[in-house]
Amino acid sequence: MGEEKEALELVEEYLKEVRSYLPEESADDIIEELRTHIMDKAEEMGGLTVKNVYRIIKDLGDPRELASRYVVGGEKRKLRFELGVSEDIYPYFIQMVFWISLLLVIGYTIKIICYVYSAGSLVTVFDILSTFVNMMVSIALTILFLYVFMSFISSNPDLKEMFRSFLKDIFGEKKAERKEKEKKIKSFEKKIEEKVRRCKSKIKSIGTSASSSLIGGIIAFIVAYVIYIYLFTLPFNWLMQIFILVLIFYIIADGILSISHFFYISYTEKKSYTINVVSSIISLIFVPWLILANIFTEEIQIPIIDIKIFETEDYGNFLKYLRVIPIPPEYIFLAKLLTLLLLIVVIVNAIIVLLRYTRTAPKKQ
Amino acid sequence: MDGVFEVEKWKKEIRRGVIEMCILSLLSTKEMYGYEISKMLTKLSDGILSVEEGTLYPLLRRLEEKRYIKGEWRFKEGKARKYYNILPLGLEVLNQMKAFWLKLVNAVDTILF
Repeated sequence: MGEEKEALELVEEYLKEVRSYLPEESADDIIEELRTHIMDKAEEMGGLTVKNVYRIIKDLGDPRELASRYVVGGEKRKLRFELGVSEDIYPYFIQMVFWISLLLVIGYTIKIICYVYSAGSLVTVFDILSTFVNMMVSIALTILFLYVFMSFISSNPDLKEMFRSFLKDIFGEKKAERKEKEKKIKSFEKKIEEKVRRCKSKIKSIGTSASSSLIGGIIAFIVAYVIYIYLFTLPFNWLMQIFILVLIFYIIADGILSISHFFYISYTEKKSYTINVVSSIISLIFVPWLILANIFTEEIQIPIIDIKIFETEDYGNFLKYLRVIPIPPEYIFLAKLLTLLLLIVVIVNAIIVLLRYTRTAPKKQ
Repeated sequence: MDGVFEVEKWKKEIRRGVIEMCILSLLSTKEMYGYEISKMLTKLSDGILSVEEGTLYPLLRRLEEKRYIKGEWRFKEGKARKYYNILPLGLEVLNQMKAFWLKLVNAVDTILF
């Protein structure tokens, strides 16, 4: 009885998903027919079990895809948006990301070469870093735009059909379709082995993790860019410049890790604990700076906004009202304590994450 | 490998073209529900015309929208199912399709054999 209940839940979950892509006026009829079909076929296969239901659902296909077959050329429906690229157009998304990123990398590399050639010894490591950060931001924004765009296409079955036939001409149908089929077969076999009933709920949380990793990664690049543009223009001393460099490096590395995590989840449908471990290890780059800051605490500087900006109301150019002041003497002890505390937190966190990884990572993955 | 792929694609297209006619033909003999049509197609064609359910149901819906067939919910054998019947327009279309099919098969046979 328990299994039958789970099988029924699986049926309802699938039908609910199909319904969400169907026009209101015909949804009830279509869903009812699909439900009787699933029940009939399950009965013929030996009963309403999770395995049987999963096979039937697999034959019916992806909910969006199935709904699109009802909609294309049929009734008109409202446009909708849901974050997430559907499996059938995912290979095209990856190809688009790859080619556009490659073009950007080539373009920016040419730019750096031309810059070095024309400016000669005047080029500093910061100039190259600036171009690199620009490139990463461009790539990140491109991925974000494509992701949102493809999500929109995925959410609208009729648009998706049109887009698919258009993409087939550009990227070639065979390779992408073969990859798609191989991926589907692999994932199906895996899911059966890992007991299908647990997969459904996991997939949702994994989907959310994938999206948050992508968005997190993109935000990281933008934050790194903003820090670079604004903070480096301020007259900071050596200690603070080291801090900003370390901070930018950390944010970019974390952004790259987040985007790698997104692709990892998308391909394997699993979260990677290794990426969390690497992220914690990267945070150790703050250790040398924290030690320096603890020793030379009086060198710490704080950026402040000059109050004059509120008198002039020239908010757009607030950068010229940013001032850098040394840490007030009464706060030195507090800052020493804080840097020491942060030092301990960073090290202890890395040790804990590493220990957990060595002990439990195989089970988690 | 590409040649095999192309042939498979071609077969799929041919099947897609005739499946509509075969469904109309089946329904001209008696009323049937979706899954029954799917099973009959597979059985009578030795699997050559087996159609995925994800394709069959939307196709039935399109035939309904074109007024070739009509679906009605009925309670039979203790179960409520949507039974499809062919409509006069569907019958007319089927006859035209059949006539063309005979001509096509003859013409192709003449060329091939």
